[in-house]
Formats: sequence, C-alpha cells, structure tokens
Amino acid sequence: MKRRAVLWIALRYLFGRGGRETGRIISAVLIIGLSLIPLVVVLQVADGMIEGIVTRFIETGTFHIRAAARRSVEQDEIADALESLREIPGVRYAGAELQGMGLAHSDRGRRGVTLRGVPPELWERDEGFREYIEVRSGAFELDDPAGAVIGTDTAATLGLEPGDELRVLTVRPSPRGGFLPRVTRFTVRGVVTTGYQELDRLWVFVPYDRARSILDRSAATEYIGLKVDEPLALENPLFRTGHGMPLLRDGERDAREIPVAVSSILGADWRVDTWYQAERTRYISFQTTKNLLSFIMLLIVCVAAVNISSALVLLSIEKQHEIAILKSVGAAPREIAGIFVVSGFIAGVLGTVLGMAAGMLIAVNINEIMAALERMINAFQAGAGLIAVPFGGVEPAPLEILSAEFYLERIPIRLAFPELFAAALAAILIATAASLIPARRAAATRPLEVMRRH
Amino acid sequence: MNDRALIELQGVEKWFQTGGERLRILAGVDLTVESGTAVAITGESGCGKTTLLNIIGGLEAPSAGTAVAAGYRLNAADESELTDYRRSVVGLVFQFHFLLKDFTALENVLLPAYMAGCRREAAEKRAAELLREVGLGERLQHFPHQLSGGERQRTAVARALVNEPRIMLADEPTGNLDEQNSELVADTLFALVRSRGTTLLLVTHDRGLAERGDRLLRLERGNLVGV
Repeated sequence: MKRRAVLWIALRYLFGRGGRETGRIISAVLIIGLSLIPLVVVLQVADGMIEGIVTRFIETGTFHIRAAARRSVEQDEIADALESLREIPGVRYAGAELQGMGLAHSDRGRRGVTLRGVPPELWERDEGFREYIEVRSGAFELDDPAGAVIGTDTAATLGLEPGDELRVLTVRPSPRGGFLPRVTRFTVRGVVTTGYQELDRLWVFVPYDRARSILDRSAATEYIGLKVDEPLALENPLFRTGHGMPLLRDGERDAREIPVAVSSILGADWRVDTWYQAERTRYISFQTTKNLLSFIMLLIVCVAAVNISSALVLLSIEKQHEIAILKSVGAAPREIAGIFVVSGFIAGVLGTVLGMAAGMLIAVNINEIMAALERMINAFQAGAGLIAVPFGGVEPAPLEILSAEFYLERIPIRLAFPELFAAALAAILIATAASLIPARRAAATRPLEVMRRH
Repeated sequence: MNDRALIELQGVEKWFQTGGERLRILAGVDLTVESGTAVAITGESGCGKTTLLNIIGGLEAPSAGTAVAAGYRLNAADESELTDYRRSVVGLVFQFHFLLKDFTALENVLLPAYMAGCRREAAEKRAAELLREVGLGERLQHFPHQLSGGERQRTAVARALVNEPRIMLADEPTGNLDEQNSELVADTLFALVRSRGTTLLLVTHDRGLAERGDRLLRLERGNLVGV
C-alpha cells in the first residue's frame, strides 16, 4: 500500500466523522499539548533566569575576566598592567578592585559586609555595570573619599538613606601582634540593587584608594576586572555561542583569545579566570537544576504519551472490523501498523504544535502571569484576613512569588529555539513510539476471526 | 496441474480443534476451476462452504492438502505472498457488505486500488466507472449508512472488482437481501464477471442463483460432489 493511502486512512481515522474515536484522539492531542507546556516554560524560564543571573554576576560582580593577585601588588604596577590590558582587542573595560570584609553598623543595627574598593570612574566607564545596577536612591558617586554606595538589603537592615552616616569596622594586624580595629566613617551616597539580592546584599562600594588604606592587604584580595565585547563567547558550557569553534564570529574568536593575552601580560603573579571559571560550581548547579527539571518535565510528556497509546489501542479495537476488511482487500500487516504509527505521529505533531505555542506564550509572559497570580493570591489572602482578624486571626503576610531575595525580580526571557526544537522532536518521537503498541496489535489482527464475529 | 486451471485444490482438509476433539470440516477436497468459468457451490449450513472459499481467498490456511490459485501456493505461502495474492488476484464479496463506515461509496471502492499503488485520480476514475456499472452513479458520495442493503452489496461487488481480479469469490452475496435486491445484485455480479472474463466461485444457499453458474457443485460431508 502506498504511503499516501496509509496517510489518507490515518487522517480519516483521526478526524473522520467526529464521534467517540475523534474525541478521544483530540483529548490525547490536548494532553500531549498540555504536558509540553511545563517543559517549554521550564526550558525558557530556566534559561532566562540562568542568563539573567549570569549576566548580573558578570556585569556587576565577577567581571567577564578576573585576575586575582597572588601576592601584594603595588598601585603603580597595577596602573601599568591596566594600561596594557586596555590595549587588547575586544577589551572594553579594565579596572582594579580591592575586596575585603568589614562590619558595617549604624544606629539601627549592624551586619558583616563585603567592601568593594572600586575606581570612582567605574560607573562612567563600565556600561554593563551601569546597565545592571539600578540606583534606588541617591547616585553611584564615589568621587568623595568618604562616599559609599550600599545595596538595598544593607540599607534596609541598617536603616540608611543617602546622606546618612555609615560606620565600617575593619581590622589590621598590629605591629605588636594581634589585630587593631579601625572604624571608618562614610557617607551613604547611593542605594543600589542588581535585582538579585543574593548577589548584592552584602556589597558596600567604597573608593578604591580608601579601601587600600583601611583594608588589611593580607586578608583582602586585589583584583583586576575586565569587560569584553563578547562575554558569553568565553569558554563555558552554558551558552551555545561558547560551542562550535568553526561557527564563531570574529568577535567571539577574539574573545576566546583574551584570557591568554591577559595571562601573558600579567604573568604568573596573577591568577586569571573567565567568569565561568570564577563561579564554576554555582553555574554548574544552575545547569544541573535546569537539566533535572527538564528531565522531570519530559517524564510528564512520556506519561501523556501513554494517553495517545491508549487512545490508539481503543481505536484499534474499535476499528478491528475495518482493519480486517482492509487486510482482506490486500493491506499488509506493516501497512496496517503504518496507519497507527502515522496516527500517533500526527497526534504527536498536533499536540506538540499546541503545547509549543501555549508554552512559548506563557514563557514570554511569565512575569505578567506571575504578577497577576501574586495579585490574585494576595487579594484572596487580604479578603481572608479581613474575615479572620476580627475573630483573633492573624493577617497573612503578602506573598511574593518572585522574591528578589532569592530570584531575579523580573525573569529575562529569550526563546532558545534549538532547545525548543529538541523538546518538540522528543515529544513527537515519544508520541510516535507510544503508537507502536497499538500498531503491532492492529497489524496482528486476523481478518477471518474478526469477520466471523460480525 | 491442468494448464487451463486457475484454481486447483488437491486433498484439501480443514479441521478445528475444539477441546480434545478434532472437528473435521473439509475431508480432502479436490477441485479444479478453469479460467473464466463460474462455479457455484451449495450445501447445508455449516458444511464448510465458507471455509473452502476462505482457503481459496487466502484468508485461511488448509490443515492438509495443496491449494494453488493463479500460481500462488496458498497452503505454503507466507504473509507477504498472501497479501500480494489478496491484493492482485482475488476479489471478495461477503454475505455482509463489510464497507468502511467512515468512507463514502466511492472511497470504499477506490481504496483497494489506491492501496495497490494506483494513483488517486486513476483509482477514483475506475471506482466511479464501476459504481456507475452497478447502478450507483448517483450515490458516489454517500456513506454506507446512507445506502440501502442492496446498494451496499452492489458497492461491495464494485469494490471486489476494482483491482480487476482474476478470481472473484462471493460468499452468500444475496444472503441478507430481499428477493428484488437479490436479483439485482446477482444480475450485477454475473454481468460484471462475464464481461471481464473473471473466474467466479460462488457459495450460496439460493438454488436459483447457483444455477446461473457454469458448474454447480455440492459440499457434502467435507467433499465436493457434482450436482
């Protein structure tokens, strides 16, 4: 039997004249579609979150390439190195940073903080830093040696606003042994956030020179941070641009050579890491979480495919009589099987198209959906609170689904078409594979036995 | 084997095992049918007429003996040979029409041709012509449930002939029809097979219908006897 005849019969069986069989197939298609939605959303949202978090980390925290001094380095030496580093093609920013620990306190409280001594011109020169640091109040100004810029969480904990005094306790080794505490007073110039509190909750930005004077150099780390034109092209397993050397664009090829050039300029006294190497475990854990979630979601698709299988098994039982007729007029067993495999394939394709469309629609609107969900739950909670409070109940705290404390405040969405394509392919294959059991069953129909029953 | 024989059965036996008992239906049937003849087989109900037809139709294997039709050794053929045989050599008409309910009369008739590899347009043309020949030119787009019993059976006759089979097997083709429709179906069947030179093997209880054949045989106690 020709393939076209198989396709024709399969289509007629699927969408023939309505009825129970068609209803069952449509419900199987819908279930496949529904099962794909979580997978598509997870793939897109997880990618968006990973990219969002990675971009924030590398633009505001670790830089694209970070060189950490292995010994105490003099300022002149750093200045010379920076000049050479800025000459490397593809490097768009190079600056020093001294990082150490301190205890910040105010009249309202105290907390351990990470002091980041950065050049005052960082804000002006580093476009990426500016893009991902949101100034909530005041300004990112470090021209004044006593100026400091703090994260929103630290500002909230210490009750500080721009113009307030911030005291920072640091320790330095005493010449007579032990440590000498030192309190440095700063004036808060700005309160900032990256939108990801895990990253910025402990940050206190102070002028670089001031940091050098108050931090114990043996306990602090001297960094040189670099920003490049194509950060995601630096060797990493998270983003596709990092793979497939022959397909790399010029800028991406240049980016891969930068770490080598940086190492040769700075020499053995500096440890040079790309952004991925600097926070490798964190990024691996992101990727593993995403893979695990995707796998679980794929299992849901497998479960949904059972539905296709059972719908086709029922179809094969209901059409047993017609299968017998087809065989008696010359249809071969493999062609009968073909009808059911094609049916499973078509159902899979339809379900996949449906699921992909719905999943992508949800994924690109995930922030709005979360916000609407949050408003709805909070409105319901508030209503419940109004009833509960007069009777001695407690007013429930408002729910924050995307709490900035743990997640990005807003998930950046970027549709990863290769991954979507793979998911679609997997769903279609699973649905087609699910049709093999009914296909075999139908192919094994003995026409005479069935006809005798009629 | 006779040179002109299209169907040749030698010592064909068929038995069914029911519990510990062997139920013998055919007890060494010998039959030779020459090309272009119409052979009618009659017999009591349950005597094995349909079983014999099923063996010749490649739907059932004999328990013993040899059955050869149009060069196909049916008692030893594998599934693919039998599929090929059913597709290109025989046309089957059953007591019940066995039309596919989701397909129109035209689609039911064109289906075997389309499945045999004929182009859709050509199969459609051939099916429409046949349906016109059986008097259903106005019913091409009707579904089986929209046709009368006689019309369904005539559609089944057209379907059996669409691949221009050399052998036509008809099992009680008028068994479910009233007298008027029986007559119409019988006329159609004989007219079509005679005009095409198709070999007809007809199983029937209807003595009048049986007598329209070139040869009349009776199946008694598992063997064929001339009438």
